[in-house]
Amino acid sequence: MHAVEDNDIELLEAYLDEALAEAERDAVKRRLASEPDLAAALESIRAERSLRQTFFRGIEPDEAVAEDVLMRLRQAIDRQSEPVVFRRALWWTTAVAACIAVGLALQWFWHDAGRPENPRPQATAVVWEVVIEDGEGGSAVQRFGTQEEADRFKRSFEAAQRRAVEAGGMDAAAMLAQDL
Amino acid sequence: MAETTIELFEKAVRQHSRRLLTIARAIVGNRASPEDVVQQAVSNLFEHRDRYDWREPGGLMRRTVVNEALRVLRTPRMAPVSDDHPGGGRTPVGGMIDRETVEAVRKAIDELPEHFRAALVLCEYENMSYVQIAEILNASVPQVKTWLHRGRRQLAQRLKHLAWDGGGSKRLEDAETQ
Repeated sequence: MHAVEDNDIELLEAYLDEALAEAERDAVKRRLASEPDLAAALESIRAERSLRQTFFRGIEPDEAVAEDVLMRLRQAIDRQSEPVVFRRALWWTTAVAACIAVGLALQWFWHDAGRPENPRPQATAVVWEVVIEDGEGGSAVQRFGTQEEADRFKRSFEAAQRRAVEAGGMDAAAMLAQDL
Repeated sequence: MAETTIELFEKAVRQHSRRLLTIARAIVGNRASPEDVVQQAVSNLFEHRDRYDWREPGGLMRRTVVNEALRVLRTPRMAPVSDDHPGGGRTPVGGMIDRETVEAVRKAIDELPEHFRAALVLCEYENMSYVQIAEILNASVPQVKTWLHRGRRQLAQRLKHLAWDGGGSKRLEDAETQ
């Protein structure tokens, strides 16, 4: 008669989990045939396992619950895709507005630079730059000679953006190109 | 015509949702809603859907749900979710085990540490190998074996009365032979 030790129980569990190599499995089978206590322990472990498996199968939800999850998921995904368009549109608007505000690029150059008789810089051109960034690392620059032109472009771009959002996320730049 | 990613994704969710809900339920118990766990996990996958191969999504979805369930359990403890939600109160498997036995098993499993529960459901419900479980739980194979062994021994201790009086196990055996 052999006492069933804790490591025997672990071995039997691995046996039921089909986690033993073939040689180990055969060794367990030989022991089960000759050790009634071990065989009884295996039956007990098997019964406990069956009870748990029955429990797990019992907490499976029915189809209606699974369908409900799918429906909620669809709604969540729909909600998720809307803000992406709006976030993107908002980003563009913010980028354009910010760039209009600070986009005045005053280009200086030193007329006859280096000449001691004319050391002061002179402004030769005022350029309004509108930098359009897409929020994903891409950008484009539009330059205008006057603030009025830059403002007009900004308004057109924003209008195109709004229509792009309404049209389900089309590219605002493409919309604007259609207008031009 | 080849199915689009979204079509494959939806098919995968439809095909696996019941099993995913069961896994989530076994892990979170009544600490959180399994529906919310699955929804969040699957939404996360949807967000990055183009990164994955949706023709064989079972493993990916299981892993994501297990991780989400464990993440939920690590957040500050919330009020228990009612057991009355759909699928929660029905007697399992056509009455093969009675309600008290179910409650006793549920309570005993619920008292196990979260990794023990996760390993158990993946092993005994999903029939996954130790290697697969280790991968999902980000653990070693010996760790998984230890979790399973300790979890099972703790459950055996807590449910000893069912085995002694021929309760759950006996009734289960009878039902299985019918």
